[in-house]
Amino acid sequence: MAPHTPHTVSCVIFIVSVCIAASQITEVNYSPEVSSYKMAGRVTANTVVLQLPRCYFNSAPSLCNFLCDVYLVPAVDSGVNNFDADKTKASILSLSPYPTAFTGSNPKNYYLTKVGPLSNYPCVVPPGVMFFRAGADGNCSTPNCNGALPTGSTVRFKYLLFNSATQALLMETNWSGEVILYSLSNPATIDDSMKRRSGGMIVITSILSVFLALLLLLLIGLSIYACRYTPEKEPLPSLGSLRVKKYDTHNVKQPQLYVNQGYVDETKRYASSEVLPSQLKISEDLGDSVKLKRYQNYDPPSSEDKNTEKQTEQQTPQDKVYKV
Amino acid sequence: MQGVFFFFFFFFFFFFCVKFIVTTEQVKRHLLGFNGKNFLYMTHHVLNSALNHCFISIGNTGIPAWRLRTGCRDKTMAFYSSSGHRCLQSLLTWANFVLVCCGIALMAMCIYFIYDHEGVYVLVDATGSESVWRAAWIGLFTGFAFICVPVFGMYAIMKSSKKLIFAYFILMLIVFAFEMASAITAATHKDWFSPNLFLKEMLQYYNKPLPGVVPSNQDEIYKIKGVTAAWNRIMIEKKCCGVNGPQDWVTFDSYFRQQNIDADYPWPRQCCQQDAMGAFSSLDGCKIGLNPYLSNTGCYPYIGDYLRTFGLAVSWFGFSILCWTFLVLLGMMAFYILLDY
Repeated sequence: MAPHTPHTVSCVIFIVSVCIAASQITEVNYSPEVSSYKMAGRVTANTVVLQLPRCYFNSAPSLCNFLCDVYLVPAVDSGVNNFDADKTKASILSLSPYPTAFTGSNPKNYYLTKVGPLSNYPCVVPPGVMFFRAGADGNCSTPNCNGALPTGSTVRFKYLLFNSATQALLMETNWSGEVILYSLSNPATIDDSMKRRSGGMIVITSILSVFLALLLLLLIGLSIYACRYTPEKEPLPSLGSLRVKKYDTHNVKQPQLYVNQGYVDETKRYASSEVLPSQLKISEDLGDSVKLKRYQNYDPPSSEDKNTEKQTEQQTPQDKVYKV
Repeated sequence: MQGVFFFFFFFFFFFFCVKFIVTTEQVKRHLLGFNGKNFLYMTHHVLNSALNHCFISIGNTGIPAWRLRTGCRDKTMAFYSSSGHRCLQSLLTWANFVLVCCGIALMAMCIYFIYDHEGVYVLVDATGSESVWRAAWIGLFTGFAFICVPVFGMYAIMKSSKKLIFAYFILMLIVFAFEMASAITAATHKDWFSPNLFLKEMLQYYNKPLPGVVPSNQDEIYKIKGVTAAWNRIMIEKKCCGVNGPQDWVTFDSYFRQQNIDADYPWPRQCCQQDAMGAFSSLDGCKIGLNPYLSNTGCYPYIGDYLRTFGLAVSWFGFSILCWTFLVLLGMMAFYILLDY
């Protein structure tokens, strides 16, 4: 069903537009599609990125390149039927303005928004990513603005071709498939609990607990060992040279006998008073005792001394030690 | 032709290598004055003396140290003055020195993690599972204790004083218990970190309206400001978006979503790629999530990897130190008992 084409170039635009308006709405066999590019924001809670209506309306009259505008109608649920019922009405562009399209007691559930003049969408595809984003204007208030779609709704789209002069609907595409917008999940429902214990945690916890328990047990055992079991001390190996029972103090003028108190308890009791001789004879009686003679340097050595010195030199070195 | 060349090349190379090794060995032997027979004798001697140090031989009977308790020991040859005592002493001193080194390393590692150069502490703090930091703090102090107590232990070994060694046991057990707490805390709380934990926190804290400035709200205000600033910084620095990706901002309700329209701010501007001057490469491209203009990867790998390393390092290093400590304490107990003989 091709629309009328003007026979003469001199045909006025007005007449042409009247001619176009008089015709029926042509339905082209295309449907809007969600953009095929891989992008994170293809579908969000309020917006959908659609492919441009490129080449959809190439069967439109050639004058449409100057006169016609492409519109988009997103319809939610009953909006599809509402639009189909309303589309023949002359005031279709302002019948369901955006701000009240989805609100109120009996909403129309669709709105129309302008995509651009038809001349912008030739069949030749220019390089670069081109798209139309439904809902891109957010919370707008003008009648044909591109307002946000209801969150989580199921939307279908349709491109429309309008005569910009007469505001008459010329052509339309098929309804697109259903596009389900994101419904925002409540963050409180996110399960952030621990999924499972890691093996490393179990290994560390169990082995360390065993270690600490073992160490505690060993320490307790060790303290019991330290308290109860002390191996008997062996007596110090007593060397004969240390066992001097009595000796003279190094006092030349009044030598006294010193009794070593360390051996008082011994069974032989040779250091006690009853064993010891009552009359101390210093010189000859005590074989063990050592008699020391004071030697003074400043005394001029007498001939006697010299002789004795010579004698001592000839004596054994043991004797020499005493002669200090 | 080339094959023949390479064959000769490698042949001569090999030949000269062997020649070099042989001659240097010959020169060395010549200089040191021992031939092969001598060399064998010397190794035998060294091995023998080493063995003699570690097994107290009584006379030349070769009775090892552990047989001494059974009674067939020479009373005049006490453990205290034996070479076995000296050997165990040096071994335990060395083991304690290793502990000191481990203590220094543990302390350094814990300081590194507590310093938090990735700036993720506030994120972990807001989730309420910041116990890995507690583990690091405990590790810091036990690291210091692992420096001090083994030094004291070395002194006790040197003195061979039973009282000092017993004091060392008690101190070491306390340090052991604390380090164990640190390792187990780190290992346990590492398991809590999951993408969902940070996702929930991000959605519930990012850009949350600040409550009134009341003392009771200080903590909340600190968390909100900290989480928002941390996310803004991480997303720009690491060129990532959200926890799992930019979809996190679109599919979930959040304070950010309630304040911003989906069409204009599907995700924060920090997700958009910026040039060196901080200008957006393409704001429209970023808004629809086109690949080069939006950071498509999530930030969890950066946060999670850091925290996983954190937990693993504190727990497993602590664990290995404690295993070594266990061995050292066993050795010290053996030393303590042997001191009686």
